[in-house]
Amino acid sequence: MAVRAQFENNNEIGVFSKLTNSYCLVAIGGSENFYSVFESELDEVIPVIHTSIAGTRIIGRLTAGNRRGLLVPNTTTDQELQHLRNSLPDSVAIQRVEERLSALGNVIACNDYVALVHPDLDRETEEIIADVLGVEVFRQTIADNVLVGSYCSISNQGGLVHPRTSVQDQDELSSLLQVPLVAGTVNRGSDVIGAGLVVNDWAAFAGMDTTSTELSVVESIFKLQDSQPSAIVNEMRDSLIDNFS
Amino acid sequence: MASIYNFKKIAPVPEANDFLDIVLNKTQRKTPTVVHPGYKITRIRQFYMRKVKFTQETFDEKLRQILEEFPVLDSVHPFYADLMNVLYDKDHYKLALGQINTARHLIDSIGKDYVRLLKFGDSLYRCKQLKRAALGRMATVMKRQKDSLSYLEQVRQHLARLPTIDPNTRTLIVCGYPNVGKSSFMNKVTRADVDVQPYAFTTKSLFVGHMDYKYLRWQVIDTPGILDHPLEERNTIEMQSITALAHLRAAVLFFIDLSEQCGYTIQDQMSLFHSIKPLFANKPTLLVTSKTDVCTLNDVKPEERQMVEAVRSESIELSQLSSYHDTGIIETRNLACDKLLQQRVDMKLKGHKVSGVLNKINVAQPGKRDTVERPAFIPESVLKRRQQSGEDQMHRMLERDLEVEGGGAGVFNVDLKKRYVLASDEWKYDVIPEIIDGKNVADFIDPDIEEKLAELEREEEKLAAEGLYDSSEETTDEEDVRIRDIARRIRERKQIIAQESRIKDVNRSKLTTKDKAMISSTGDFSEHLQRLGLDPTLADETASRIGRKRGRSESRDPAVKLARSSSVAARAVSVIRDRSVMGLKDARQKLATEKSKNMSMRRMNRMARAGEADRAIMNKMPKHLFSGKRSIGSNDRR
Amino acid sequence: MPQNEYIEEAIRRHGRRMDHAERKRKKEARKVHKNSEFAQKVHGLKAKLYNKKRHSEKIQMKKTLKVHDEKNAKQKTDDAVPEGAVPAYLLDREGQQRAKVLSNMLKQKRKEKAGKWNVPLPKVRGIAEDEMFKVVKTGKSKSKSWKRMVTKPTFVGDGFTRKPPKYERFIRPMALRYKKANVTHPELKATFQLPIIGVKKNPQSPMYTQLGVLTKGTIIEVNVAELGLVTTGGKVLWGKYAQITNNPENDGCINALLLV
Repeated sequence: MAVRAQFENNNEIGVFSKLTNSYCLVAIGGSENFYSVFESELDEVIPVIHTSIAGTRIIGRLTAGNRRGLLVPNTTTDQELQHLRNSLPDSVAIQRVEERLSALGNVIACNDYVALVHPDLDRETEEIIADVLGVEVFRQTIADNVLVGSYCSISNQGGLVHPRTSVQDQDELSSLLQVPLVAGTVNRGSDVIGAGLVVNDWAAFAGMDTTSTELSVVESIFKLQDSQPSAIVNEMRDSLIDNFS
Repeated sequence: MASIYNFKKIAPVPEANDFLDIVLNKTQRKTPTVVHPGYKITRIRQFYMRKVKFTQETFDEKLRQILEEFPVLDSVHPFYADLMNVLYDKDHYKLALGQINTARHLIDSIGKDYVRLLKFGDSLYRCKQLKRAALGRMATVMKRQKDSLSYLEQVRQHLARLPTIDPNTRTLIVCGYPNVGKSSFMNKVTRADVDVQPYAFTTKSLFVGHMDYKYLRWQVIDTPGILDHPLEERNTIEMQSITALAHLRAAVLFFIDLSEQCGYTIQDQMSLFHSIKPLFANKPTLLVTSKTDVCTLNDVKPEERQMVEAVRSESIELSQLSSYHDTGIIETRNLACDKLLQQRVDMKLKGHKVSGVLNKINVAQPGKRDTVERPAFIPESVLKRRQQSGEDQMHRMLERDLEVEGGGAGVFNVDLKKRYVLASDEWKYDVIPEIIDGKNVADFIDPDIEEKLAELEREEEKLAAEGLYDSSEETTDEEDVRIRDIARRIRERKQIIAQESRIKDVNRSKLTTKDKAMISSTGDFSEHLQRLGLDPTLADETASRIGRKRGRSESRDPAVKLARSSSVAARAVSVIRDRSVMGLKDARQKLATEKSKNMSMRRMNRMARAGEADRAIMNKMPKHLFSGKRSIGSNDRR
Repeated sequence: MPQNEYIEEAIRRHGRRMDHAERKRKKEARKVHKNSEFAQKVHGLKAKLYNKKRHSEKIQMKKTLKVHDEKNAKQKTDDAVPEGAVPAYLLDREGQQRAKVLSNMLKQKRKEKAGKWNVPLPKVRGIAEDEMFKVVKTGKSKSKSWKRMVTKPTFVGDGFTRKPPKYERFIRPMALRYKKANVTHPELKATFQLPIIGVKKNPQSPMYTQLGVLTKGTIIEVNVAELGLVTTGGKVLWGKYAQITNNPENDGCINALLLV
């Protein structure tokens, strides 16, 4: 189910939220509207947690995580860490990471099995990622951008990457991630996919500006609501060509 | 998204009189208003020049704004250019803008002329008259633009109300004879809510509506009815349809009414179709027979039917619909949209831009790189909910609802601890301090603390059991006793000191130890020495000698007085020393210094007492610099 | 999306609000009070503008009223007494006539009179030299003051060559030189912009005539070839005199009346 949402009139919802298969983090905002969008979709299945990281609301860009664990930057305060520990189920490991590139959400893109990371990430951090998140780690770029977390959005079922990713790169990334990939945009042509879109295996949330074409691509590639990635090649091909070129 | 034609942002064009009021008001508000005949003439001139210049600039700015905001017919999309030609007459439009431009130039030159004349104004009255004349002439020029301005205002109002048609997007154009059901179809497929009436020419201008099909946004344009006569005889209403047909690359839906309820025969309608067919070239075209609830293709005469069906040979498809019965509408729409989309995609595939989107229509499928299974992780509850979706979707109490109950955003305080997953629910709201005894509690958190404590206790027990803490026998000797005694005395002393300090008022501001040491009396000092077991007499003596109070000589001890006078006799009289020789070795050196001083004073002496800082009038206009011819030309000394 | 005549369309479809007529009437009725409130409150420049507007409105209104009155008024005339025997009760009746005819005639006459510019300016205001000239100081230390600058508009002929600037006594600034005048023909009652040929006479002083100073009352010669006037002999007139009727130094232009 793909849903449109907005955080205080801002369409970059991936900045203010983090969604995985076992939990969802949401920034503390001025009102509860944003939280309730997630709550109505996800509550009763996984915990939806209000939190801040290092006193900021840009939690989606500062944290990285999947079903098994959550990595937070070293700027996270002790109280925030305790709050997360208390709120998350015990099956989720929380680890504070001493890393120079402290916006972990921007430099790490992961699903439950594979993680793509920034080429300059520390070796120790890489090991922590492998241990805590239980994933294979690959140093990669997406369309020559080192911020892999900002320019793609992946789940265990599929992935959306930066619109300028070449077909060869897509194939390569796809074989690393072992999920089908497509290049695309969110938020009416925005190329920062990670900031405009949060997904897990059964739900997706995109910015309010996202067009219906973009949203249907998201639903297809992430196999939400019984649609399949092949739809992009078949039924939607004409619409996509007409819309984008 | 090439260009959005939005004419809604053009600022209103005031009428000539209002225009004047606006400009003159602005001049009055934004320039100084007080001037007196007693002012210096330059100031008076400047005052009026500023007024004239300011007015001219304001006129210029306002007129320029009009010229810039109105679309230039040559630079807008040909569809809009033609539409504007039809609606407002291109010549008239250009003429109006041209006149405005001329007026601007005239006003500029008037402003310039009068500023020049003002330079020769020799009295306030004359300057004022010139200013009046200048503003008056500008106003006259402006008043002559009355017609142009009111025309432009009308154009602006009409332009702003034109439907926003994007000439480059996916478009369906609905056209045909009047009263054949074009607007009804429009109302069925879009939400435009166009007026439908049972008489001809209900729709008098273009209307646009939007719909979604295949994830795309489509634009549907409803056109006024067209009659079958030559282009020159068409009126403005019909010409709008023709313009839309001619310039928009769109799918055309040509409507015909087989029932002839519209008042035109099938033959007429078909002849119109054939006469405007050139406009359909290279456009996907559909011949739509409407009102099938009244009359279908099977009901008409065979020759008419043949006439209609003949169009199939020109790769024009036939479609039937009834807006009354809601039949065939969606089919017609889909057919038209598919044909147009197909055409657009084919065209785009031929172009070079398509390479940019290839990756967006390519789904990269992963090749197997190992045998690990990577299944999706979808919880049972989600799957279950999907099964029974739609049914018992009970409205849960969301945080937003709580917020509304709790006083709305900004008042409501979200409960962060509500959802904690802890061993006992009672712990949720336990208060945990951040810092205890200057230590960050979080630094000492250890998840395994219980185990460690248990282990420590076990170890302790084991040690106790082994008898580690059993007390050993007493051992004492002389040395030990002495040390203990000293220690006891030290402790006692410490206690006394502590009590003494406690006795003193704690709240009184205290002197620092350094200051205290300075004012401690000799008595204190000797006492202290005594306490330490030393003889204080020597110290007393020294102290009384050094720390003697200053006093008058008479009161002094005569012996001391005598001693003093003898020892410091040489310094009794203060000597006034000549500073000029201070630091100089001998008389020769002194002479040398004197000489150099005189040398440096010589210039000053020559100028008598005038120093550098004094005002001096130099040679004002040196002859050699101000006479004769210049290299650039003659020296005009008028 | 509102498009085309959407306001009219909405009114046509849904009608106006129920109390539209009443609101309109009330608004109309309240308008005088509103206006009066404004008029009492307004001050400054706005007041000036408003009062001027109101003044002209009032004049217009009075004129209209007067016209109406004249149309209806009845006036006595002596000559319209009915001929022949009159019954006694009609004896002291005087003839009556619609005032309108008379007043129209008067107006016509007045108009004609006004149109005749028979006497151009017979008198002029004297202009002293120090108003006319500005003293220009010369010399190395600006001690000499024999040079003068004309501070009024002048006419300088085409063939004029300046003296060497050093010895030029009278300076006529370029900015104040005029070549054209707006000349009104009193009989045609039309104004033309005509080139000036020369200054015939400046009534102030012959020196000004020589310098070509254009002041009020100056007689100038203008080129009337454009007008196509002919003499009785059939020759085309091209030079004609005209008198300046405005203060060119105040207006920045020259208005003159053709002497016929």
